[in-house]
Amino acid sequence: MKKVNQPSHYTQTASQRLIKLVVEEVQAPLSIKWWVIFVVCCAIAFRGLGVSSWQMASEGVGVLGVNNHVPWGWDIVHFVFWIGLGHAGTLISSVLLLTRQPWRSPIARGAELMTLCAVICAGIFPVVHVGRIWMGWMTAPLPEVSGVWSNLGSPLMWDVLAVSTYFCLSISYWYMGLIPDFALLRDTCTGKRKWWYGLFALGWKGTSTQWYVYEKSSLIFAAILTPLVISVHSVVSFDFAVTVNAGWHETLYPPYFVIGAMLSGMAMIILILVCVKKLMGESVRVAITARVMNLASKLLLTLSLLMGFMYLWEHLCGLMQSEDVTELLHAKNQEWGGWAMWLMIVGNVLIPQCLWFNKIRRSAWSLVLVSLSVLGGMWLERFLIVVGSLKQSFLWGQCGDYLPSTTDVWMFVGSAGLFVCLYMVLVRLTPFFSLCELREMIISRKDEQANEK
Amino acid sequence: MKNNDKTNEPFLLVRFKDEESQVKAANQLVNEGTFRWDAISPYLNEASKLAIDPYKKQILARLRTFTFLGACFGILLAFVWIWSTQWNVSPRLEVQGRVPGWDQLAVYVPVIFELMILFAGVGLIIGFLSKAKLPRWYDRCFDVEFFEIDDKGDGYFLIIQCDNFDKIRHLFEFCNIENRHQFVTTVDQKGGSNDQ
Repeated sequence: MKKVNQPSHYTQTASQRLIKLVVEEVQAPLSIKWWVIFVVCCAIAFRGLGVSSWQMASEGVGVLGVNNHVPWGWDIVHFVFWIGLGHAGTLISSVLLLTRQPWRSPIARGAELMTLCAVICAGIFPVVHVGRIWMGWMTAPLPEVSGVWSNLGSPLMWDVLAVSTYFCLSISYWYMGLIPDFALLRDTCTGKRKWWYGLFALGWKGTSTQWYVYEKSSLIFAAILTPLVISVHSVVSFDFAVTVNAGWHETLYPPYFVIGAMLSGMAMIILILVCVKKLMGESVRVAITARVMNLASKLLLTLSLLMGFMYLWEHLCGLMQSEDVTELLHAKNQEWGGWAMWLMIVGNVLIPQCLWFNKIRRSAWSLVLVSLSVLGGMWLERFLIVVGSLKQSFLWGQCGDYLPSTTDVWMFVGSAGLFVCLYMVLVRLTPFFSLCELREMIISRKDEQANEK
Repeated sequence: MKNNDKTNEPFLLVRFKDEESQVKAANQLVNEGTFRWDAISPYLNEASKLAIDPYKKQILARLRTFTFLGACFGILLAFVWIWSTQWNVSPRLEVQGRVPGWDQLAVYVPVIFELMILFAGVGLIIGFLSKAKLPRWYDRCFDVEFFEIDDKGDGYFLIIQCDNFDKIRHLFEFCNIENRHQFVTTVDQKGGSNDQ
């Protein structure tokens, strides 16, 4: 018993060094590189989202590429794309916590941050897409002028509720994890920073009760969030699956969407980790080791195989249905001569197979290329689902065409700019990884090594 | 030591040089078994685990209860919302010939589920804040000069409910407490600081 309770005094150095680095980085002035990237992204976000939203509110949804046959265009594609990225962050963080994966600590905070930024980006699209932004209050539980309440049996209302619930709980989960770190920064920083961090630390002292409550609450929160995430992306898929539109009316959609979200989210996390390692201070390079990147890549590979299975399932289901449905599925996949579908499969399933090789998993540039291919593939998947399905119909009169407008393009570019801006601010104000968890991880790892010796 | 902040009971705050000393002292206190005490550390280390051990089940049960009650409240709220805005209104909103009511309950399952999860989370947050005694803008320990961590994020303390350091001096003889201890009585009244 006593031996178990002995602390690892020889392990203090690594964790102490890490804490010191983080505190120094938080207090260091912002670099010119940071300001340049931030200002450029702010300008892009303003032009892309600000100006385009104003155009839509003042001129109507005619400025978009949508038409009578294809009423949902790029805006809904990007809503699904960003919400997918957002869902993966918390799911990965909570699942790795529940399964007690020791490599969770360096990437969990980054994934949670990605969730918050991505959900904010996603939320903009459906609101703006309706054209009359000032009528957004009608999704709230309030009766409108004629006394009619919003229809809670509608998948669109389920979506509003699910995404709002998800955002509220994700931000709470993220903040709860930050409280001990804020306390540490409160105790080590000076001046205004000390006051602000003190405010957000809520008076955390680090007693045994607080640590125990924190640990158990995190676990219970993870257990709550895991089914929530699965339900939320399933609800997003219900926007399509519960309609009678051919190409959307598929029972496969909930798992198909959830796996797709996890795949794109994992790709985004790897991309963020590589960029953060290049652009941020030494602490990130110390915390995010080659082993962490290796394990994250293996998870991406697993998810891409699952996605491949989903594609196979979708097409086998199509073959088992009536000839008309099979024809429609074929027509949907023949969008742009069929190359969109093949690019999607190549990007999401074939290119990630490179990750079987250790050499690729160790190369930062290869990981960036694989992640970009997955993100591109997932974007194409959402495009084929939303636009590809709407363009086809059992009736020739309902078949239409779709071409995105420049406003559509700017909206997407703007959302990417907003994502980078938000991420840069949050990653600057809060530690990129949980300091207490990382300290525990380093010490437990050294303990294991000592026991092995 | 639990609830030392609620009562104004005097306690002794002892700072240790390193984690090893704190754990040794914590083990001594466990073996002695007569003092109420608590550990303060930069993460859930062995000393904190020893301190929390007798209270684990109770705290976990409280957290689960808060979560469960939150979930129940969410379900109840969802039913009230659905009943008052969909079923008990005139005229009812009929979509595709379906009249809202109990026989259409399936379409409201996502709403019920989401509210259940939302309020389970809210319940958990309330439980977390109440059990961790947060937010807490003032604590008697904050007045103690040496109650701070160093620039490496280290600070190992024990809070022991006793009115005289001599009573526990023999316990810490082999614990390498090179640092300081202070006797803290009430919010406004502090004992003298001693260097060992």
